[in-house]
Amino acid sequence: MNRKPLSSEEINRMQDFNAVLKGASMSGPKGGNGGGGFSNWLYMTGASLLVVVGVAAWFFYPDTKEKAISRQVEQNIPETMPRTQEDSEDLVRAPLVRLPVKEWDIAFASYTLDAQKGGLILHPGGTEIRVPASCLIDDKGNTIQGPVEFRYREFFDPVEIALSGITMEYDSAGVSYYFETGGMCELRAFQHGTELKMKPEKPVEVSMPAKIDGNYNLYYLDDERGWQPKGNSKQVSNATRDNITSVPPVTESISEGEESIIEPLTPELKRIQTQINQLESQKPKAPRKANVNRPRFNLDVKLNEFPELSDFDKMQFEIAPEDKVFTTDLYKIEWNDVQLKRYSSTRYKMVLSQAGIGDSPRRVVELIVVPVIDEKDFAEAQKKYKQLLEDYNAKLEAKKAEEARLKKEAEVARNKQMEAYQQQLKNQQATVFTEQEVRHVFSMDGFGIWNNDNPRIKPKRIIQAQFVTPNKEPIQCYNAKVILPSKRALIDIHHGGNGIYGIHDVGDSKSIVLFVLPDKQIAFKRVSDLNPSDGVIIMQPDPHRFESAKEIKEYIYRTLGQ
Amino acid sequence: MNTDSKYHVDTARVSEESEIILRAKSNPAAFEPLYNRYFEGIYRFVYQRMDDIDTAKDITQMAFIKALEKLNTYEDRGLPFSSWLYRIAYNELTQHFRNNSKNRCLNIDDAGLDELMEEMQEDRYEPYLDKLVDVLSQLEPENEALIEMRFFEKRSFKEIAEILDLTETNAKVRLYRLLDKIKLVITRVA
Repeated sequence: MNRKPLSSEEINRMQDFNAVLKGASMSGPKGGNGGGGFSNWLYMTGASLLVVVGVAAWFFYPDTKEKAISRQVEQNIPETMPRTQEDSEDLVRAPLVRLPVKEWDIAFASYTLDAQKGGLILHPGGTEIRVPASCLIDDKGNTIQGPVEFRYREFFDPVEIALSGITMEYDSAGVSYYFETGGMCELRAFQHGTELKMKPEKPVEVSMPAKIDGNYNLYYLDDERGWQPKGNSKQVSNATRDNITSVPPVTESISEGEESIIEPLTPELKRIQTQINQLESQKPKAPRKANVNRPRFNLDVKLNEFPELSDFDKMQFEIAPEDKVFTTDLYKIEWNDVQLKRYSSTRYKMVLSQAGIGDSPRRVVELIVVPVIDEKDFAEAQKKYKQLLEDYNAKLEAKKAEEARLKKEAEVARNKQMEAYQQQLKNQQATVFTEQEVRHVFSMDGFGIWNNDNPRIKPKRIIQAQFVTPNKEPIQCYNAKVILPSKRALIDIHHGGNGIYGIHDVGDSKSIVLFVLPDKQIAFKRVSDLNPSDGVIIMQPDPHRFESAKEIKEYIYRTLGQ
Repeated sequence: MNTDSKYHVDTARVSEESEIILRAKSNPAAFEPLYNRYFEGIYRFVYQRMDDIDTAKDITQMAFIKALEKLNTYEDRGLPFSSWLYRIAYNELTQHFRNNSKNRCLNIDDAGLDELMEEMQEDRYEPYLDKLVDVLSQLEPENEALIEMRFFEKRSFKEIAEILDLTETNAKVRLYRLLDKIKLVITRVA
């Protein structure tokens, strides 16, 4: 008990960072999520690189003959060739999702639901997401309770998909396809910033308005294996749908605390809670009986500076057991000044000062003291304490009752707000439903990216040429796609070094080739307008610098009259 | 209760530490500033729970080795990096006591005992000292850690929650339930 603490110097002498470095590098690879030493790290990085290169080559050339060419093209890629903006890690959401420009990412809408109750989310545009009760778990498999933030976004337009960096290439039994999408979406769930998982036996049901007629397969984007078939999405008529109730979108972050989302604080609630906090900080402290064996002092304390000492009369200050400064010699000195300072919730420091006399310097002694009551006054003090505590509890109870009443009122107000919101939604739905007669309905058994698609075989005809600017400089890009607006599809363009690109020609007069260039610029052209001359195609980079995917989409379609 | 903390850091420091961590993920030597910054705090945290200076040093070093090994799995969740280090150190300690069948050590002091008694709305601890020590020595490791961090290390509930991987509310509820039980035992017997 009361062990002598070590000094900072003693502890810091033990530091040995080299030993830590050596220990970490010698510990070697370990299985599981624990990770290994640095050799393991390098091994992991190498493996990741191999996977990325492999996938890129595979997507570029679908058949064996073309793969042979692809190897040749890949070898020609200069090391300085940018793959994404600044090759920054934060642009890589997953191995198969590589954002070309961070600012162009498609934003998520945020919704909050109670995990135990579940609920229905209605996304602007008409998508409905039904979240079953208690369907969420953490990494350890524990069922999640309390408010959860759902982040959702959806894609119907191929330009937006291209700029999201989500691959639309699909490999099945060694054949490479591109997707025509009937609607793609991404759903994630978070609590306090930590991503959650879904219980597979309690899937989330999604109903998206079908903007193109036809049956679609359902795919899930697996981080490692690419798109995985998940059967078909159902087509449902709006007429057969149930009436719905949903939650409004929220903009608050749930990481700030649960209560702020469930019960937004009204000014009255804030006021009463501040009062409760103040009152709780003034809770009377039990009197402490003096120890007859310990030295103590009488002090005339300014009670306005120490209101916590005003509860009891005849307060004295006893030297605390941990004080190492006090000696009886201090009684013999005539002190000029005595001051009291707060030290901890139960301790004070008594500072004794003696003015310098002659050549003798000023002397200051600090003693740790505890406020106590002499034994003869203790019964009276306890009686007073009991009374003070009763008064305090009564006040606190009254404040808490007031708080409960205000919370109830706030809840009623919020319910009214919800009702108004539901009505507004119903009105919106009435409009949406007449526009969208058919919907794709499917179940998600995990969070991530889901796609209603039909795979199409890539055309064999490839336009391979060197793409240059009017100044004859080879085009270098972060991302290159052929976009098929009429089919809501896109196909990767494969790039070699020195501005050489291979483009699948789908024979669609409205298909567009899109390059994402440095400095938030793009270059685009109709595929039908690509006329190679001696293996060279001139592309004029657009002078605009774009700030969002929406801006680019509208600009391209407007410029090309589509 | 005064729980001013050196453990929580401002956003500028969180941001600076994120950059160091990012660099250290590819170059372990870049981790040194964080080692220098947190060695003393982690050492004190470990030594508080044992009586052997050298073993405390070994466990502290091992905690930093583990931290370096796991650095590539570290996710910035907006919490101070130190909370992650303390959690690793706590796990190392638990592992140490389990592997060595050694008894944990609870270092107590007068001020901490006073605050403990005050929280239980009891007078001075001296009449209950023997029973209190007896009860504290029989606590489950996690309950002992709650008492230790709150009263003898003066940590805030936020810090305790982060180190023990609990929510703040859960840490509070557990501690106050525990205090109720301790009070019941010591007052009944004493």
